[in-house]
Amino acid sequence: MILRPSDYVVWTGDGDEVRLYDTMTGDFQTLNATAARIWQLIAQGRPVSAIVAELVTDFAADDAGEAQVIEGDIREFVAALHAARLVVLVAQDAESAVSDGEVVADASASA
Amino acid sequence: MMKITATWPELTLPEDLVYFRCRDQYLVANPGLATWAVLGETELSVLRSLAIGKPAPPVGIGPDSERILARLVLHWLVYLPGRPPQVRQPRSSLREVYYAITDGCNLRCPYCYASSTRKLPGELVTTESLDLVDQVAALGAETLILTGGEPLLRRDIFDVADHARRQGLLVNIITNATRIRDAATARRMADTFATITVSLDGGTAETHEPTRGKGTFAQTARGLSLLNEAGVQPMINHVVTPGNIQFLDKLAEFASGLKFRGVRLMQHAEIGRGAGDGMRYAFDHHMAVQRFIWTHPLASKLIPEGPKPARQCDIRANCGLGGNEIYINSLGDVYPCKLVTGPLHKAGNLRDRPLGDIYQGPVLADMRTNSVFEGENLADCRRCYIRASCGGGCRAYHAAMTGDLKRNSRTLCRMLRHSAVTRFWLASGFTGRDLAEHHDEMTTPRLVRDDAVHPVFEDWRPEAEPGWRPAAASRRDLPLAVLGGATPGERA
Repeated sequence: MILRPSDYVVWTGDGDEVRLYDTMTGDFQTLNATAARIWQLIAQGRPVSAIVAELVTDFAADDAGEAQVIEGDIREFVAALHAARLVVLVAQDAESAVSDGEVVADASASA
Repeated sequence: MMKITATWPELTLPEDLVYFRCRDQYLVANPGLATWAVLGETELSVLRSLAIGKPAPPVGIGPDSERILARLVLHWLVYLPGRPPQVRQPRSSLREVYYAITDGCNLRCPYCYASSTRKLPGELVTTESLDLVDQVAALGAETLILTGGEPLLRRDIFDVADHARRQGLLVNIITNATRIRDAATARRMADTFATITVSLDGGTAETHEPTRGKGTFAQTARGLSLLNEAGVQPMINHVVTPGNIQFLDKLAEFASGLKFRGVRLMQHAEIGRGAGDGMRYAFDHHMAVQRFIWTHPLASKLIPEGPKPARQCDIRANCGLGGNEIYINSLGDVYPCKLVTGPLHKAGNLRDRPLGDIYQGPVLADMRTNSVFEGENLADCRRCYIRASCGGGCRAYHAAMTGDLKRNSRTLCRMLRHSAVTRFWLASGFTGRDLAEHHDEMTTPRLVRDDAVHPVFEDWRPEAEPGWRPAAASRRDLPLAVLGGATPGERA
């Protein structure tokens, strides 16, 4: 799955912090260091699976149990971003018949 | 939540927002919060409309006004109704202790801030140095920096350093490296010190030895090479003087043959013996260094002095003297900083009082509680357009020019402002070539509210007049080092 920040979101990142504003709702949010890193990887066009792999490598090393927890947390956070319409879908992943990592044209309507 | 546009009449912004220009882009900075953003013409027009109190955003912007205002708010250039940010100075905690473990030095550099020559009578003995380490660790400091003189002249240097490591301290050393003569010594240093900083005045014998002495270039180069072979990537300290500035290329070429972390370019200061060597580091020298760094292909690891803002809200309330950092000389005298060693600034002696008491005492407390935002010590900074990014600069450098720690040298301020603003641009993705080609407009501050040049921009001019003297310098405030003298037991 590849996502990108919604057109309705204005955001800025400094070091380990991301601040964003939803122009639809008028809500400001500040993401902590880990969330900011995930956001910035999303903004770079990285597939969610690649984001998971990168953070698992950094935080879990060879611990399969930890890796599973990390993957769960990341996918939950990404789902929350999507549900809040702060990010929009660019491409589905393999389970949805589109290869993860394959960037397709942005056919999605914005949130 | 209410949209930002709907709150337009209640939005506020700092009066002294300034902008700098590069072609059709504008870097707007908030002096009180160390924040900045690069804006286009339309965004600047929205900001200006707010600054002059227009009742609504400029016509023709339409729905983009919400996005533009959001961007301005996210960069703290505009404040939401009733929510201006408050800057609170955190309580300082001691992080770094510089300990001049000896005044003895095998070199006689003409600008030495410490005026080091021979070991002073009354130097702390080994047991006292070990106790010093215990007290530093007990105060919660993170790093002990062993300096001098030449610290490797102390025979117990590794005993003291090893003890500090056992106490959980990181131990660094600043050395001229001439005493690193064999692989065993280099390996011992690699095993002991977290950071090894080597002083180097030039990339060739011809440029290094006029200040360091005959034969010293080969000795220092050998020391650096042995450190590399032992796996150490040292920092290099290079004092830039009017006499060696044209040889920066030779320094960069020499360093490119080494493994090193970076070369700190330290400006010549009129402190210690530097007060009497006839050199004065001027803005033209600062500019020569800047242009070299912006354009020379080997300059990427050369680190100039001055503020280095790299991220938003990285606020410096002061330079850290007497708070994050203190200095202890070889006799056990405690000072706010290794460059601030006059009698008025002696906070105590370890033979008389514990370090904890000295740290809590009035001399150091006065230094650390004053800031560019409050207190008298840094009042000269209050109107400056980089105050929160700069923290006032090195007080010893200021005092060397004005004779008073509390008075700013406007010549130094000019360099500090130039450094900060150019770093804003570089941190925003602009290049050294941009700065070289559009220098004046990229570094001239104009007030957003009326486009006038910021009033402090030209305040260095009186100091450049022939015969200028500081107005209110008190001899009582002068560190002995600035006077160029040293008395027994009270050397700078």
